[in-house]
Amino acid sequence: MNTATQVITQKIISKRRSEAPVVGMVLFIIVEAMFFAAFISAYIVTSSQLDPWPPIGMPVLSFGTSSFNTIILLGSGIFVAMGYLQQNGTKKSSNKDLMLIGLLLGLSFLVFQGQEWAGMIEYGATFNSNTHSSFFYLVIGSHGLHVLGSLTWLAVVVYKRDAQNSYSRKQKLLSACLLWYFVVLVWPVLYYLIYIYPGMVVL
Amino acid sequence: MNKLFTFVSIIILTFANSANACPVCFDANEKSRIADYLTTAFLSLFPLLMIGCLVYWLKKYSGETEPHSIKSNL
Repeated sequence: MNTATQVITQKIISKRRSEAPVVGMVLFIIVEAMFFAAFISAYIVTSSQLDPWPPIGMPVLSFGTSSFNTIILLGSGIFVAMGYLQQNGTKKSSNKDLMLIGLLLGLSFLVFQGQEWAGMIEYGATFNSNTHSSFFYLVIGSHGLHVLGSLTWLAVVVYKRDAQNSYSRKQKLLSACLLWYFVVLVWPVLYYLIYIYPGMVVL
Repeated sequence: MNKLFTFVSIIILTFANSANACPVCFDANEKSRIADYLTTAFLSLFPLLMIGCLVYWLKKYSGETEPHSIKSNL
């Protein structure tokens, strides 16, 4: 094997190795999509046999507050996307600032969710109250855990100082951003099905 | 082989019955029956769609890192 071929082979191996996080994340997102698809399907079949929300003694959530929360999460996705796109720019700090805004918005979403849950539990709507509330806590709770996990992963990738080459780092950042986009984009579907469709929120 | 296939098919059709595991086969309204059909179709086609997209993406992605494209970049 001559030197040129060895260099090419090494370059291919190095590039493929750097791209592994992205390929792995795409596979993981496919698994996650099926996870939520299964929940959604089970919920659609079950809710078709149920009366609309609210059952007797159950609370109704505010449309304004929950929509605002949705906008916060979508805004977070936009800021993270902008931060990712700006990483090739001259101002590295602006890239990190945008990412930080995105991360903080994501965190705000979780805090609002926590407040909503606390209010519902205080009102007496627990996991065992009825089928609607069981699905609410199961599906929204699963999404909340995904938000927490992907926010943590994104923060680690953005702020970790490593000695890896920039291409490898970009691929890791892309993989973390892909997970975040998935978590953000699945939310409007869940929001419509769990909050709006059964009438859990009112204007 | 065809005889075996015919025999097995007849046996299956003879003993075929409604599945008790079906969530909407018994005591279900029209709405839940439609919901069941739709979600069955969704859960059958959605993975196939994603696998198709993945294969297409991997093919396209690996094409960008083929030796000739890297050679030309050297």
